[in-house]
Amino acid sequence: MGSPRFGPYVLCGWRVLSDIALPELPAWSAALPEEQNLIIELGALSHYGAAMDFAVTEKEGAILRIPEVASFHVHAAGDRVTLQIEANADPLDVRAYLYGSVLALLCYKRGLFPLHGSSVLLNDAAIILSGPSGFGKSTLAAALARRGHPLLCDDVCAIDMKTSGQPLLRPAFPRVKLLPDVIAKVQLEAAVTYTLAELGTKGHFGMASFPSAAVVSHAVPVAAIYALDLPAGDAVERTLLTGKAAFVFLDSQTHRGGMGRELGLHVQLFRHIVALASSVPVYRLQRPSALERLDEVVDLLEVASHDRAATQAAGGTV
Amino acid sequence: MMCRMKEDSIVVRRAGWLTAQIGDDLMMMNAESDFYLNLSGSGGRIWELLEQPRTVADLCEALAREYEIDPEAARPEVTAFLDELLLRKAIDVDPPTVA
Repeated sequence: MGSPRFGPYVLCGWRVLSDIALPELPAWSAALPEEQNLIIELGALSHYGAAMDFAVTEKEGAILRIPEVASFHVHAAGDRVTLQIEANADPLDVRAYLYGSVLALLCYKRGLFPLHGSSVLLNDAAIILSGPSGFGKSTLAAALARRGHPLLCDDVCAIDMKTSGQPLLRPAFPRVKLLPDVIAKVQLEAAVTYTLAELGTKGHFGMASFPSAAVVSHAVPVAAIYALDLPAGDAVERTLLTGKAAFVFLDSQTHRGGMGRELGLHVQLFRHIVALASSVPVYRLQRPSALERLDEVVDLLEVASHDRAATQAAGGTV
Repeated sequence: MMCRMKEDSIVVRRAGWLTAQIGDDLMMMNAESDFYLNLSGSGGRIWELLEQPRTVADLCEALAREYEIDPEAARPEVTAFLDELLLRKAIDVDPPTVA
């Protein structure tokens, strides 16, 4: 195998060199702090067999097999991913798993906490929109991005609890996965770029980005986590969760938490969830289902973020 | 569950539990089984008091003093809670309770 053809890119602060093109990722910048490289390489994984879709070995790391898409081998040191792409696999699907489950595994291997959610930068800090699939995380993130707030990540929020005293979000890339009908309904066309060939190749999503907003590649403090309710009712409001409720919510939205436990990291997971629930406010966010009222939700998040920033500037706490 | 603990039974925390206070809640995890427990209010206080092994009677008296109630009144709730901790393998009781 020769040296990887594509990159260097930046993903969660890592310098990425890849055998496959990763057009969603920003280019590596020399201004970023040096870190251990991440190599994405093509290779044969058939010798691992097809008996299990997820396997962990202490020496070799983790193997994840997605039928009809690809097999991924996350090496034990978390510095290398080998992938074998299935014939006729859609490259967008391959990358979706790479940026989802595989990224979560890399977070575990590198001591980061992967939270299921989308994140946007408001007043120099990350707010995380978390909750089960289909609860509108990406749609709300897109509505915030439309107002000019930079997107930080979608699906996997890589949270660094070790570098400083406060949790830091390491941005993945400034795109969100959206259903084509959401793109149409929220009238994002003017702000969104995506290639038509990719949009709905399999009829299920398009990757949307907002070229007007800045690309943020450095780690930023996490200001708040929003636990999204399924949109319903009439109210647009947020309610602070108690310690236990925050813990239970974060535990439920740990990305691929089952895999993390299979990697033997349940103690690390417990400590990360406790640290996050203790240092970052977790709010339940209620909002109506009508997309026409998304702007009211964005207003609420902007005002809350502004108030927090003002309180901090005045020397107060969150 | 029926209370099978005696006044002079000694209650000891079991090893292998990670604990963390978040706001008013004490979150606990068994490092081996990955089982979570959440103790709030007096439950969390009982866990704190069990930092040192204590008899059931001693525990009831300490709590009764703090919450300004009669130790006898505290006893049924305290032993029921201890039974729960025993069931979850968070404590040991000496002498062991008989099934």
